[in-house]
Amino acid sequence: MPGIEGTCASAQSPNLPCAAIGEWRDGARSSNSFSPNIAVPALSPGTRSTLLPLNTARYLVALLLLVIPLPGNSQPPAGRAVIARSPGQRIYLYAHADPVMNTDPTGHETLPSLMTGFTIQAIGFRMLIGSAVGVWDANFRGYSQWKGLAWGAVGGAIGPLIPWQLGVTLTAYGIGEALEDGDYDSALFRGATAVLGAGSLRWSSKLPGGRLGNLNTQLQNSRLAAYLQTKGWKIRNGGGQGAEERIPGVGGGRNGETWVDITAEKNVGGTVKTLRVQTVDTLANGAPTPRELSAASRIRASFPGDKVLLVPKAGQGMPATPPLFHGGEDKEER
Amino acid sequence: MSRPRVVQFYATKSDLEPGLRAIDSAQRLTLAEDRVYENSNVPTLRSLAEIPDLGKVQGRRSSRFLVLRESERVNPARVVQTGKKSKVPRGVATALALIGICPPGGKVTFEIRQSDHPSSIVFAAGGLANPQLLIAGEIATMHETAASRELHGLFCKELLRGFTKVKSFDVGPEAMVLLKSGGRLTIDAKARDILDLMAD
Repeated sequence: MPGIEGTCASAQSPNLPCAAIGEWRDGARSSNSFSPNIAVPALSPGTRSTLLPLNTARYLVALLLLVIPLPGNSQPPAGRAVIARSPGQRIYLYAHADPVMNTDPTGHETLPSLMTGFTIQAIGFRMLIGSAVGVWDANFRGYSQWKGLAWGAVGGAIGPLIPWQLGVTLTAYGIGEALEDGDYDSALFRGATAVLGAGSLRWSSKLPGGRLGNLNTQLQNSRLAAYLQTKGWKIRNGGGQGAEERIPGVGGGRNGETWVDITAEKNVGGTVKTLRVQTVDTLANGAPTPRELSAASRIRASFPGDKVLLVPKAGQGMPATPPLFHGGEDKEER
Repeated sequence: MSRPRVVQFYATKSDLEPGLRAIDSAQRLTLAEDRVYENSNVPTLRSLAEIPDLGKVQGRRSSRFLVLRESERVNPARVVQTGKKSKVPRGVATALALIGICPPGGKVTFEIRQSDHPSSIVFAAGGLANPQLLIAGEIATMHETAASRELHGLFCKELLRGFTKVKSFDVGPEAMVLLKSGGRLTIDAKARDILDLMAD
């Protein structure tokens, strides 16, 4: 996005004076490489505000930010201010302000290793099932069980990569081959296996949701929790391992209460750090929905010293991978 | 799947003691603290009266305990961590850890998970972090099993007897005095005061 400092790009407020905040440039991966080139309406120093529309496409959780004067001698021009870090607070930008390409507020890195780990498990499971089916099919058809096992394992491993049209064709060929030989049992077995496989896929994609979200989201939370644990975090609440943390509304009421998907703790240099992870619904442009942002801002406002991480829910056409902390998070927290 | 049952309360030691005694006499229990252990030998408590520093909170929040019936065993979960200085590429280390294999430079710890104990509940007593700051306790469960619901119900019934409902919290008599005298009642010592319980 080109620099638009000083020009308010918000369609709702075209004439407001603007304040510059940083945007992550392409390739900028360090929190120190913050360069001001997004415009937002200016606020008085010290002012906190609610959500501000950014270019009608994204929202800035301004509640989480303090508007402070420029540091040093460079005073902001009249009517302008710079949103920057204040002591103990961190600029909160969703996915480096690039939620299309990134998937978390820190956005340092996506996480191929997490998916690798779960993929290894998934592939292993599919190979196991495929091998069993292959051996069974070999018994029916009378060819080598080893061959059946090998083909089944390969089929299980690469199954999801096979287009459904090719899958149907191969299944039809297999059934046809058995029928041609007059091996009706085998044909029935192959047909039943195909129907069972397709049915289970269809069933799993239509599992009912609930107040805790659908099965995909629950699995995603469990995976996130498992990943955090490998990095030394202790899951205190949620993540499929315990009851979710309840944060009451203002004054301790039920109104405005928030349930956190995962609350994790880690001892960093003798201090227990807390991380809260929310899997969020996103808009078509990849930004979290206003409701999700509102919940995130409530959490952040309640615990200004803690970290809040937003991860897009699985199944929204976005990579639902959490960030790879690389220990950088711990450094940031210190 | 419905929302977990979480009942949060504010209570001092003297608010808690009668209820804890009543629960101990009604049901023999096993408790294990919810923290990270170096090995699978998890020390357990045999009654609520054995909870150390009852009514006091040392950190930001109250210590939490997995509560089971006496006859049930605590099964700690094995957790593999990659370690900070892994000797293999991080991606490989993470992948290995996720499938339960300890990578070079990694370590194995043990944790208590409520998900592994379908008949359990989680209990945090809460208490005073300082004379003017009372941290919330909670009775919670993620399970819908009859055993877990029954235990949860027992705790709620006996422990919160005589408590007053204020907003979404149950407040013990002495805690109520603290609330009315201007003390802070909050869920976390580091939470902002917007979360403090306010009297109606």
